[in-house]
Amino acid sequence: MGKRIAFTEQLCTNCHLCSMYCSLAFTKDGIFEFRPSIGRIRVAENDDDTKYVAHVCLQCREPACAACCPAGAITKDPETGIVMINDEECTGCELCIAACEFGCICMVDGTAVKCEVCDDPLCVRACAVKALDLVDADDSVADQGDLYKEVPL
Amino acid sequence: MMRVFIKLTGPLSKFYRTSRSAKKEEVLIAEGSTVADLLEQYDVPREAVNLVVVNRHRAGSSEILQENDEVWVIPLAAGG
Amino acid sequence: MNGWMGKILRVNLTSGEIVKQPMDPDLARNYVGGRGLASKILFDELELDCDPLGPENMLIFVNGPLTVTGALSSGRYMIVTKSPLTGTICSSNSGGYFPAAFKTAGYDAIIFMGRAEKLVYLWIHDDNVEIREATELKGMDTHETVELVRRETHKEARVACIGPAGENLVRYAAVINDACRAAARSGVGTVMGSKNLKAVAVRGTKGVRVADPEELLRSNIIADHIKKADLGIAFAEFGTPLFVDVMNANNIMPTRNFKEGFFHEGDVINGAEMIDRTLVRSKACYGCPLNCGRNTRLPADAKFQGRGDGPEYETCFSLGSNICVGDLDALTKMNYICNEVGMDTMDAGTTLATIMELYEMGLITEKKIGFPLVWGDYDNCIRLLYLIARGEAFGREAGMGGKYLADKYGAPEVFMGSKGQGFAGYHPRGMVGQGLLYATSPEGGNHTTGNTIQPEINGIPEPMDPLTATGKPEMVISRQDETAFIEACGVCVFPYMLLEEGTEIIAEFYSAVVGEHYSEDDVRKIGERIFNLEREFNRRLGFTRKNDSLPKRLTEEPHNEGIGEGNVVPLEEMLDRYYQLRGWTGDGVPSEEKLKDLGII
Repeated sequence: MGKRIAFTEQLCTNCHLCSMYCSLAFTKDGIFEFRPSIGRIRVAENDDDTKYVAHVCLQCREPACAACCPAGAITKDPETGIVMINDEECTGCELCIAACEFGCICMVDGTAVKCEVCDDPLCVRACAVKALDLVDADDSVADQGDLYKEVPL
Repeated sequence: MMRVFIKLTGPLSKFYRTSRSAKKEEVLIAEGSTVADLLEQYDVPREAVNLVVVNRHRAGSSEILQENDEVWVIPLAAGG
Repeated sequence: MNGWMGKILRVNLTSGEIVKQPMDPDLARNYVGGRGLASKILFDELELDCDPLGPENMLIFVNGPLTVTGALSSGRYMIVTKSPLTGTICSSNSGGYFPAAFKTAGYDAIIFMGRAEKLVYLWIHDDNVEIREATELKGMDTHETVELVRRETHKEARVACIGPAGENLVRYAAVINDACRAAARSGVGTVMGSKNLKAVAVRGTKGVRVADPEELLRSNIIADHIKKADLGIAFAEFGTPLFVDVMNANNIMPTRNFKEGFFHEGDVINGAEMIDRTLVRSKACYGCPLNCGRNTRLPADAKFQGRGDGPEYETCFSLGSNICVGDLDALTKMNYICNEVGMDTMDAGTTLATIMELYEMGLITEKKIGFPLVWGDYDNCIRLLYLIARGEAFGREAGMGGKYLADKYGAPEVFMGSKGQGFAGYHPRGMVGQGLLYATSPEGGNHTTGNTIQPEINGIPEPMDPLTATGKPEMVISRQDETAFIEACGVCVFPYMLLEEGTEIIAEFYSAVVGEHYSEDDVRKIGERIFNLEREFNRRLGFTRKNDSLPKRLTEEPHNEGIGEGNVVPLEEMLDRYYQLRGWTGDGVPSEEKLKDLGII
């Protein structure tokens, strides 16, 4: 069964280590770089500084991003349940970003990217307060989704 | 038996019997008890303790306590 | 480059010219970043005798090669300048999220020169750098400023700014970033105000390269280790205010303007009380797993209202015990006020304590202040803090600081500071090494240049008698040198200071980032170089042994009842040995040999 990254808001401290380490996982050409702006997990604060919310793809059952992609570049893997973006087919139109009501997709060098659940996620390892966890994709996403809408990026 | 007061600082406040927010607790112990006896009675592990102050003075674990002594137990900590 | 972004931004506020300069690799190798790099730039370029509030002074914002690298607690920056409070070189440190922003925007440092004709702010979005008009921000507090600047720039911009205190040139004005974090000491906010610079807003999307990320992942293991230890549990749960109890129990919590070391109401202004009454949640600076920050708010039934971060331990001392305020709501409110108006809570407190003592002595009258100011009167303290920030009535004089007032009103001995800057919350009569630290710190009463708490009070690595001079000169030198290196790296001193192997660990992280091996000795030598450079800078301005002083209250008046009763600080004997070990003359002047050996001259 597929996995996704679960987030527990009450534990989050707004440290952004998850974003930092996520970006490291996508290092290219033998260069190791911490570039949190391209992390597939990113943290937002609400206006009165009472909530810290790490946005990471919920691997939706019926992904709005896949449905709207004009190039058909986004698909949900039938076995793993992970929603994947084929970067060769992506045209950089950004419609998926607008379609995702949870703010989990961002553009990196002209291509849309999102969490595709690493085998040994660095974000989970990096979180010092265990606010992130690798869980079965079936686990309910409702609360996490509501949180993302309440505290958008 | 005699009465002493114990102050458990920071994370050591989890050893209070009444509540973590107690700030100070009155406790009855046997006459002639030492600091170590009191800590044992409270199940406070020795390694967690950095300093014990009795009535504002540094006290060793074998110091014998008197009626109404205030025993302040300090963990290892730092600040800035 | 691994670690550094390779670029220094120079902003001439007089001409409006903006230049991007490549980082000199030799400079990076010898002085690293942070306090090291910036102090060296000032040493080389600044007109030494310039007016700190004049256009010739340089104000440098600087992060370090380890900032945003996953090294433990890698989210800090420093502001380095010539201080209007002390007349020395100075550096002030802050965390939050702003440091990570200007690092990922692509700059190792931002150097401000000159003075803008009208109030301006700087907006940096990666390569795009603009000076913008800020006239509508004039007089705004730091929270409002962040909101408005974000609206005009980017909703996720990170902002460092001054409040009315900086604009009105209060000599202990702070630069507040992310609304609640402060580069507070030495009047760095005053310099920013003197340049008519209201804010710096940044959005950064670039990456920081590192040589060996595996080694940096080890940070987590270390963080776990700290967090599982009682030490770490305490820190994350209680924050720095835990320290109120530690200091009080050791009879070193400065009370009543350092007359005593024990505060009877310590229990109501400590970390535990905060958890019960004001804490919303713990909060971390960018890239830090220790989450010691306090996100707080005043409860609905409190006499005062407001929200923000803190107070931190130093504020529990300066606006709590040292002015006899045993009320968490009032202390919290004064902390919020200082953050909002942009003022150092520490020197604000020292100033209040000085006034209270002068008032008690009858040297400052109610007529002069406009109202009485007795120990513990927090309502009138609040009134005065606002007057200071606005530069109104007695607030104008009070904004010059405690030393100025003590001198002016005829009791210079009541100023509890050194080189014109108030001491931190550690009573030297009960921990004499800290007294030596205060006396020899480049910017006076600052403790962050080498806090001796771990060795002297917690006995790490080895137990020391806090009351005697034994081993103190060696220990203080060691702390100062290692701290100078840590502060050159753009990371927080806390974990490295807490851990026994702290210096070894930072050497490992530094090596992992830059891709070259640096031993513990190597990094200490760099720290020694930085410290001596700052000393030589000050020496050229006339600072010598006579300025490495402590007030008689600490060196001659016996300590109060409790641990260390009767003790005084044996400063002169410690200074003799300290200078000897440092390779300086008996008058505290770095020898030519020492400066040459370190490559400073």
